[in-house]
Parts: sequence; C-alpha cells; structure tokens
Amino acid sequence: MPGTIEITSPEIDVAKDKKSKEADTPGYLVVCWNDPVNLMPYVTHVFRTVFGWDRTRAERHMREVHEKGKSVLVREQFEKAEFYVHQLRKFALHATLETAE
Amino acid sequence: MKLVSREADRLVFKLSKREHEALMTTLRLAPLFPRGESPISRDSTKLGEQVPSAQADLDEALADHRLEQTEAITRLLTDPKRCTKMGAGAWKLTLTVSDADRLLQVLNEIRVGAWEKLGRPDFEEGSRPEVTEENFLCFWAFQLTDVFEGQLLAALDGEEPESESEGGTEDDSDSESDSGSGPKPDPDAGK
Repeated sequence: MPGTIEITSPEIDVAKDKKSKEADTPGYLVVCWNDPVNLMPYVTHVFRTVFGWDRTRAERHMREVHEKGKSVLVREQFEKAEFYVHQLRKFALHATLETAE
Repeated sequence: MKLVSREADRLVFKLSKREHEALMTTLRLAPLFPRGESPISRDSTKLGEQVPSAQADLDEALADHRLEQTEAITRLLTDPKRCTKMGAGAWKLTLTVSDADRLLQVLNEIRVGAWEKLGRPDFEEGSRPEVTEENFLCFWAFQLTDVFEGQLLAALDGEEPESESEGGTEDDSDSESDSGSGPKPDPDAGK
C-alpha cells in the first residue's frame, strides 16, 4: 500500500510521568475562616471581586465559611495562592495559606 | 445616605448633613483602631522556610495598602467636585465604582479594628460587652460602618437609585441643636 506510515509509539515512563504530574499539582490552599465581624454580603462581594466568581459560586463559599467555619477557596501554586491571600486580607477577610498535603 | 443616580461607572449618593458628619467622623476614627496582624498560615510548620518572608511580604503589603486607601479616600472626600455641599446642608457624593469599593474597604478596616478593640466579641453567640466610656467609640464605629457598608454594597450590587423626593434620607440637615442621636464622638478620645 502506497504511503504507509510507520507509527512508533512513544515510550512512556509511567512512574516518571506520575512524579512530574505530582510536582505540577498546585499544593497550596487559600482558606477563608469564619469571623463574627464581616457582613455576609460583604464577604460575597469580596469573593466576586477577588476571584471574578458569579454570585452563586461566591455565595456558596460565603455560606460554607459561615456554616462550617471555613471554606477552601482555591488550590494553587505558592505564588498565586499567596497573591490571593494578600487580596483577601486587603479586604480584611481572615484568609490563610495552607498546604494541601 | 441614598443612591440617587447611576450613570455608567458613576454612583451618586445624597447624604444628609448628619450622615455626612457621621461618615467623616467615622473615617477620622481609623487611627484609633489599628489592625493587629495575624499569621499568614494556621499551620506554618508545613510551609517551612517560606513562612518568614511570606509573612513579611504580607505585613508590608497590608501596611502600604491601608495607607494608600486611606489617603485616596481622604482626597476624594475633600475634593469639592466629588463631595459637594448642596442646599439645606445635604451633601452629594460622586463615586466611581472603584472609589465605592475603596470606601467600602476603608470602612471595613475601621469596623474590624473596632471589633478587635472590643475584644472580638461574637454578637451572634450572644456576647455583649458592656458599653463604657472607653469603648463607646468602638460600638459607635461598629454600628455606623455597618450602615454605610450596607448602602455601598447595595449600590455596588446594582440597587436602583431612589428619586431625590423619595424617603430614606431625612432632611435633618440644619438642625444644629439636634441632640437626639446621642453623644457626639470625640475622635481624640481613647488615644
């Protein structure tokens, strides 16, 4: 058959690939903790402003903070997670940077 | 304080004389309620050697941010083009959306600072610190920021402007002798 192309499958080192993916996985969590001072609509507003979320998503996280004491907002690489903590703290929310483990 | 018009990026509020005084006094109280810093992480041990520099970066960023925001709001509220005295003692405050957001942040800093100075009470859980001469300004600021923040949030959330003739901001503007709102706070008290 004319034009036959021989295809060679790439050798995949599964173990190495898995290790590489783990290294790429964002390992830092931005957590917002409940406090009895920030108004609920304010917290929703801040989440929408900082993350650009729609109202539904922002309110879901706000309720989680209020009802469960905390909400994991995003999981990111260190620099980006740190950036979000800075933004949330600028609005006086109690946000911290935690490792995902 | 009520939203009276919204044009593109501009929000126009009308404040009675008493509301204007309350807003300005609240903002002047900011130095009385310096914010305490808190750790960047609840479990710093897991963040390891990154913690000291991350904490220092955060503290520096917040200090700079608070100073910039406060200065920007002070400039805005003393700019006669943005904060204009109208007839009968009322005031017109014109804010861009970003100004409104900035004012919201500054007020919330004061609110949280006042709450920290009150000992971080959980009002929802029934904590009711006794009002004293020393802390009444904290309560005052806490309540006032609640009111102003609510109005700014409603406006930022797309609330329809009220017509100027509608209720909401009573015209108590010229009643200099009005003493019905309780003691006037002294911004220098508690320093």
